[in-house]
Amino acid sequence: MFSELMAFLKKDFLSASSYKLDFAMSFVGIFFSVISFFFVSRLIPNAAVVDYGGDYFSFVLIGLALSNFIGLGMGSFSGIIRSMQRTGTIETILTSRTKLRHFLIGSSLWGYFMTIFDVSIYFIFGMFLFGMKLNANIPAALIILILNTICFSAIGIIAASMILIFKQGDPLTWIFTSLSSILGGTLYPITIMPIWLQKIAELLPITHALRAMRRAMIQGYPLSALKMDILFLLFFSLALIPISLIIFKMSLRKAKKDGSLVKY
Amino acid sequence: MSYVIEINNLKKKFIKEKGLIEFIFHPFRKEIITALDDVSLKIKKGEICGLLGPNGAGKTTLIKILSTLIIPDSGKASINGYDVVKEEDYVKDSIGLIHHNERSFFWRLTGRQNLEFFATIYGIKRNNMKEEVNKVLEIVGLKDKAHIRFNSYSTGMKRKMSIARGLLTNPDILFVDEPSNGLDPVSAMKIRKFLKEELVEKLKKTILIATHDLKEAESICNEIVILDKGKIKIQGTLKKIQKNTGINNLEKIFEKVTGCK
Repeated sequence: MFSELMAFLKKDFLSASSYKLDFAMSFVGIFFSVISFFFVSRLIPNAAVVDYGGDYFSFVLIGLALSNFIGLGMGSFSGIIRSMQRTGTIETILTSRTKLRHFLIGSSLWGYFMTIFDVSIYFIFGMFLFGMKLNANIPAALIILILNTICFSAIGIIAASMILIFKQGDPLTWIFTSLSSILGGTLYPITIMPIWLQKIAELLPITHALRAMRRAMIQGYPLSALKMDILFLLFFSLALIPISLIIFKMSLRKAKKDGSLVKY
Repeated sequence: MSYVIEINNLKKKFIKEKGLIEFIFHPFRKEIITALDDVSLKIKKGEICGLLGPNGAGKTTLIKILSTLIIPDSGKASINGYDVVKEEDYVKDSIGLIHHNERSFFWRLTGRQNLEFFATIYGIKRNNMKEEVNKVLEIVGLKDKAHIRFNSYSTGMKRKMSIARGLLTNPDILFVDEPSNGLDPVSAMKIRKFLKEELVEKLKKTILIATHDLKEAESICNEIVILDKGKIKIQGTLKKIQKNTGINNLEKIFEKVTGCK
């Protein structure tokens, strides 16, 4: 499995590094994004995010950084399946002993590396150019990031299963992305929403991931103080991973029965 | 007599996809397409079998079932004695699928980098990889072009790369879908010659080719199978088919059994 994953990384690195301008442009894009939010943060009173240390710029930058991981987790697998169907690579892979799920994990690795890189650039710009304030508990932040990745990857695997069956329509990612962006608290704290919306927001993993991550990164909360959010993410991950793998296996079998593996 | 491919009473039907209007007006109506109807076939080791038929005859469905990519409705198919449904992994060890979809390669990578990637996912160990990749590059005659990016290859070279990929695990049986599709006559002839002389006569592979090209089948296949609407219309050596039908020309035989002109 390790050598397979390394082969994916090498292949994607070679591909990506052959597009040098694209690489440079993403760097510039991050800079513009950070500078925009820096000026927006000037408009927002720090009292609005007092529960998170009182600095909106740090609050929103962490929200954006974690949203990148969430978007990747939810969207990368279905994107890979769609691209494999278009190119026919799915047939090449399925006539090898490599499991399709290994292929999915391998294919998404480069995306995670690039997201880690992008997020680091966000923080470097934020801290050194715009005075972002962090008091990070790194081990706690890493645990939250890992749980967040597992949790949203499981949703991503279910979304990929839908692509195997329905080809274009992927309602799951759409629903989760829409709900998460409105209710999750990426750009604003959920406490500004009506109580009934806050209750719905509490059912979404993004709400817990963002809250825990901000508290770990901005205020340096220890793991014990984050246990409720971490337990929620852990429960969600443990429940969703086996379910997502079963759904994926069933979808693959159905696509093989329907003869629709390369239809898109 | 050792048969490496055995197919018994294979059946496969598909439900035709509906357009939006049909879906709205007839949401529960199902149109069934018979892709394979009671197909039985045996292929001996070291043969090149040509699977001929008009579009929609069932050629690709048959190859995909044998490649474990489609599950049949009923019947049985085995490769090297392994059942294509129940013993999928063993079947995968025995076969190489060569299709003409160039997009299944990574165009920004060189030929060698592509093959090294596929070798890894095919389970070839790191210490044997270089040797195996060199071996297949040598077989297809692209060793000195292996450092060039895939997107700079000619169509013929890309087709050879597909063959090289199919040979990576040194499988006994190769399934080849339209080998000369899109190639100029000279490149098509080279590929045919290569399949017959290098892969079958020299390396003793068994090949099942799906093709529209009757001349191709006539020039390289020991065994010919003509499929139409999911049924085998005729099968045997070219000589046997000519004798049974009393027609010498394969094109005429094809017209007679399929009704296609």
